[in-house]
Amino acid sequence: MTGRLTRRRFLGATGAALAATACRDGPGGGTTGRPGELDGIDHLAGLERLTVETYTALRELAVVGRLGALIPPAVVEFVTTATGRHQEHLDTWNRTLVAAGRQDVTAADARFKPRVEAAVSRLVDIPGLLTLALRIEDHTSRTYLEALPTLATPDTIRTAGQIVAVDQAHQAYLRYLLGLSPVGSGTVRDATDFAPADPQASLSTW
Amino acid sequence: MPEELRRREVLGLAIGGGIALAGLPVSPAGADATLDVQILQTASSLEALAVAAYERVLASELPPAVRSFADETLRRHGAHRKAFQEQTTAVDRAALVQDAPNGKFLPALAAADLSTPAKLVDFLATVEKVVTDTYLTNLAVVQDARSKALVASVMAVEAQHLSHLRLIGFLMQAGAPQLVADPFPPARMRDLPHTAGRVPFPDGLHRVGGPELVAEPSSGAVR
Repeated sequence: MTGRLTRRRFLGATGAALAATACRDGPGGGTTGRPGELDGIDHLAGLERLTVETYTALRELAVVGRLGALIPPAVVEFVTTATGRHQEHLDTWNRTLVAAGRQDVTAADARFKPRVEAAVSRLVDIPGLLTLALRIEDHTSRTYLEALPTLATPDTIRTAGQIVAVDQAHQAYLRYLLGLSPVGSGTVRDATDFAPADPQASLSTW
Repeated sequence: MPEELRRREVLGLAIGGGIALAGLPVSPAGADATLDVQILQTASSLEALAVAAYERVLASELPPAVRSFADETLRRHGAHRKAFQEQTTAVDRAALVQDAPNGKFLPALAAADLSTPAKLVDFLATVEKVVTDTYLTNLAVVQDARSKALVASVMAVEAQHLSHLRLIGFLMQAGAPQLVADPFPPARMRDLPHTAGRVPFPDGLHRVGGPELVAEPSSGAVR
């Protein structure tokens, strides 16, 4: 490849990245993923839906006082914000799916939904809430990062990367509140030691 | 630290460490490898820049919690640099590895005003923003699957650095530096301003800054 071509490849991607992030619409503006990718996006959207439903349930628990009378305001704000962020992720993927002629995703990931709901029902305090949220964020991030090298459409890759960055930021905040190093994966205490990579592991061990 | 742990640290965050990488296609031959090598060399140069930035900050007076974070983050950036250098030669055995800080941003490093803890933190956040944004942009460009996995994995770590620095900066500006702790005592969660739960993640989809904050592949390429 000539220098001109490589430069074009980078500038094209950079321009698209900046344009996509500037309008915050991600790939929903008409980009259609390839068939294999669309299956992957369908799965990711199901996870996002599960995350939205879980955060919504966590907020309701906090509001009714089941996790104690005084919920720290910074926790309430986080749960509210994270719900909105993951809804935005879900909406973004659904726009991609619909643009490609697929159905949008309205149901949570069926494999993990019962386990997560059971975990929510067992919560009794704020550290438990934060730990559950961290576990879901970790699982979601791992799933995205496993998928990323297999994606082919630039807009899809970029959107997945944008979401990973946000989910990692969520993890950093949750880890800080729990007294862990803000940098790491899941609830592993040692910041230098990350959990095994199987993205299913963080939820399937419940 | 055992070498195995170091490798997991760099590659293991959410992508499956060596296990996931082992299943990925081998490096591309020929044309696409040229840009991939430039991207990896530039990534190495950004990690070298980050190391230099943290070293400069660590030479200043710092609150203990900021110092411990900077110490650990400096070490991580060194590990990232090594990983990018190794991947450079994995893609092209004849390629040169980059060990120098990125030239595009080196002048800003030298000129940075680090006269207060808040300015120090803001400076480090800018460095992490440049690194995160560059890797995010490169994700859609790099062709080699192993390189893509590495860029994604390191980007994830940098996004955590950026988020935490945003939180530290916010707490300092909010007049609550005492809430910057390592480790943070969960019992003090109630003392955090409610906006602490929103500030570290300002966008639903991470927003890449302007081109002036992205290192194009040629900026760190070794010629």
